[in-house]
Order: sequence, then structure tokens, then C-alpha cells
Amino acid sequence: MSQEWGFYFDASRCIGCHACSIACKNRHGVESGKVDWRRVERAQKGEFPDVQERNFSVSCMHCKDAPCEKVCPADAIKKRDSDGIVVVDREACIGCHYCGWACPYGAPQYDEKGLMQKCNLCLDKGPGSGVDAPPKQEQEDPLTPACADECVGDALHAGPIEDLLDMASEDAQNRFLQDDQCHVIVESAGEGSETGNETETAD
Amino acid sequence: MSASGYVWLEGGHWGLLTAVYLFFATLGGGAYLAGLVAYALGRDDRRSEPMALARWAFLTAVVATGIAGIAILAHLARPLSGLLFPLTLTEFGSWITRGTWILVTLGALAGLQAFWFHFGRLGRGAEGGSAVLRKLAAVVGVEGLLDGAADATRPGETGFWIVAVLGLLPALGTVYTGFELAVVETVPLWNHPTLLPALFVVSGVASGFALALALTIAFDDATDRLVVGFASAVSLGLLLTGGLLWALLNALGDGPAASESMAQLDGGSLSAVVTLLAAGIVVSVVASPILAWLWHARDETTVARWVVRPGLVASLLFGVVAIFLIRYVLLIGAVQSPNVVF
Repeated sequence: MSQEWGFYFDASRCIGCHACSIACKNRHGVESGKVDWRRVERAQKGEFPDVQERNFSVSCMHCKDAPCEKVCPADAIKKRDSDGIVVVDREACIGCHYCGWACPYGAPQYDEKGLMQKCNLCLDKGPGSGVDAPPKQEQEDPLTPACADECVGDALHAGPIEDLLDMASEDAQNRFLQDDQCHVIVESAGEGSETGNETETAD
Repeated sequence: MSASGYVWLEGGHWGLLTAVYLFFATLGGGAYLAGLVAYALGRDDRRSEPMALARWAFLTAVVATGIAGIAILAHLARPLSGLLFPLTLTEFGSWITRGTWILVTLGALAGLQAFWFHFGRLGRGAEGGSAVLRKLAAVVGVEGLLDGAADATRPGETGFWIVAVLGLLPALGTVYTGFELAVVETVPLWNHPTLLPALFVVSGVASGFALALALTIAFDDATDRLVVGFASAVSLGLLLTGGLLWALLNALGDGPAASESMAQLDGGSLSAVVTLLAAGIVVSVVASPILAWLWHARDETTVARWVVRPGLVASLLFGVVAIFLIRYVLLIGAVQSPNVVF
């Protein structure tokens, strides 16, 4: 049975500890340096003394209509029908970096060889792995994405979208269901409002 | 991290090599077109100078597509995969795949035309600089062989025009370079589906005409009336190019990435390059047709030979350089839309 997988991120719970990005590197054997399948960014808004700050954990969002897949000339990037996970076949990748421009989240990362690697929602371990892996929901002992596993603030979750939506606020659910695009960042409800259960949901 | 609530993406995935590729691909298309126009206008009375122009134009088209191909292969992490494109580039929805086929087809057809114009019936009477390939072939001792091969393979006039018109498709198809950038929705500087492709194809045609004409004047001393016509076409093309660039920049909007790009172009790190390209366009638009007319109507004076002719060649080359700088500025000035966290 086809089942879309994705991430759920609650910015109000993220403490910016980078446990997610480090866990990701550990899981996939990605050395420290330029390549980051998952990054923790910190955004600020306003001027002193009225300053807001928010952490933002981001990786491949496994978009419903993945722009990286569309531009890839070598057909190396695939959005899997079975579980919605976007994977990259590094054997086919020619290293043109077109996907880097197309992705709105900076997910494609390029190693010293210039080939692309990125989050595979822990279908398997290592760059380019998971291309031929069975669907997440059919795996006997599927890996829980390390980033979600290690999140100390319970801000990051991974799983079938239908389950993730249960965690989201009604507003966020509606936004997600009404829009074909994945929602990575959801604007605040209003100036100065508390974000509370504001959701950043990817499909 | 910024005080705007934005998280900026790193960008910078493409640089000088890609600019070279984008530039020479369209220049090759423009030069092919210039060759056909020169031949069409000069074939009846077989004037030598239009034929020289056609020879230079097709040679320019071949060399330009070759440089474009080498530049894009050098940019790839796996150049061999690029060379094996019929096997490796299988996603025809991607403009890189479509573009690769367009570029290769253009290179092949331009090569065929260059061969037919340099050797055989159309090449035998060639003199001056445009006979460069014949001279090289003579040195190697294969001139007669190549003449025979050209005569044997060149179809009759109807067949020639069928092949020539077929070549027009990839020549104008180099507009794909604009689509390659225009479909990238994350970069406001590029994401204009009509203006950017139009800018690339118009400027590409202008650069092809300009370079072929400059070579013909510099190495064949051409003063034919076609020189005035071509220089005027270059001037018009550059005028259109400037207008399209202006329209593109004005259609940018005021989003954060668009503003960042504009800040770089207008007073920022790229402002000197923008000034240079604007100066190149203006100089070429104004000077090329005037100098071409003076050169065409010349008397045999020192001024004509040592001032007007170099001035004309230089003004054409200014235009060509300006057209390259447009690609460079658009690539280096590209900024991806940030993630808006607040």
C-alpha cells in the first residue's frame, strides 16, 4: 500500500542543539565539513530590544512535486511512488548541480567529487543508499530517522504523513491539505503571536 | 542568520564555466544564422566577401559549440557521463538534456556547413583569412581529398537548403540556455519564462553576427555592402538586448532574493561589470553601423585602414564581450529565495 512519509518539525520546541544534524552525520558516515544532510539554522527578526529568534532544522523535505527531480537530466533523482521518499542514485548523478538551484531548501549537498547526496529519510545508511530499498512501511525493521530519534526537544518527528498530521494544529493541517506544495515554513498567525503548535510539515 | 527572519541558501552552484557555456552555445547559434544569411544574400552573384563571411560564420559556429561543449563537460563532476549523453541523459523533461541534444545537433550541422563552405565547389576560390582551413589542409596535404569529399557529399541547392533550414532549428533552439535558467523558481533573477530566453536568443544572434563580421573584416578586409547590413543588424540586436535586460531587471520585483541580486548589480560587487557591459552595448550600438558605413564607403586612406577598420572590429568585439558579461552577471548575481522563518 502506498504511504507518503515525511518530517514534522515544531519550531517552538527546537532548542537549536544540533543533535539532529550530528545524529544524521553519524548515521550516514558523513564527515564534518561542508556536506550537511540536515542543518540547524537560526533566524532572527527585528532590532534590539525587540528581537525574535527561532531555530530551524531543515533537510530534504521530500516534496510532493520535487523540483530537483524535474530538472535532473540524468534521471538520478526519484520521488518514490511507494513511500514518497526522494532518493538519489549517485551512480547516475553527473554532478551538474542543477538540483542545487532548483531546491528551495538547500537540501542537495555536494561532496568533494561534486556528486549529490542528501537525506533519504534513513531508508538505508550512507550517501546514495536506499535507491533500491523496499518501501519504508514494508521494511522489517525500518530505521527511524536518526535526526528524529535524537531530537531532545521532541521537535522533530518522522513517519507517515497521515500520522504526522495528527500532531499538527488544525490550522497547519488545513494549510497542508489545501496546498499541493510542501510546507516547510508556516508564517506566524499574526504580529507578535505565539507560535505554539505551529507546524512545519513536509510531505 | 539575519535580522530579517530569513535563512539564506548557499547558492553559487554555477560559475564562470557555466557562463562560458551559456554564452558560446548561443553565439554558435547566432553564427550559424549569420552564415546562412551571408550565403543567401551573396550566392546569386557569388561575391567573394559574403562567401568569406559565411566561411567565418560557420567556422565560428563550430568552434563556439565546441567551446560550449568543453566548458559544460569541464563543469560536470563526471565529464565522461556527459560525453555519453545518449546513454546517461535520459530525462527529457530537463532542459539540460534537451539542450545537450540541441547543442550537439547544431555542432554537427555547423560542422557540415563549414566543411562544404571551406572545401569543394564553394571553397576552391577562397582567398584571404577565410581560407585558413584550406591552407591548413594544403600544409597537411589533404586539400584535394577534402575538396573531393565536399563535392561528393554536398547536395544540390535544394538539398543544401533543406539541411540549412534543419540547422536553423538547433541554431534558434539555443534559446534553451535561457529556459535552463528561467525554470529555476528559486532564483528571481532568472525566473522569467519569456524575457530571459528572449534575451539569450537575441543577444546570441547578435554575438554570432558580430564575431563573424569582425573576423571577416579583420582577416579578409571585407568592405562589401553586407558589412553595413550586418553591422546594423548587430546594432539592432544589441539595442534589443539592452532593452530586454532592462525589462528583465525591472520585472524582478522586490522580494528579498530579487533585492539582494539588484544590490549586487547596482552599486554592489558586480556594479563594475554591469557598467562595463552597458558601455560595451552602447559603444557597439552606436559605433558599429557608423564605422561600418565609413569602412564600406572608404577611399584607400591610412585613416580608413588604421583607424576605421580597427575601430569597427573593436566596437563589434565590445558588443560580443558585453553579451558574455550578461551571462556572467546573471549567474554570479543569482540569489536563491531564502526560507522565511518568521
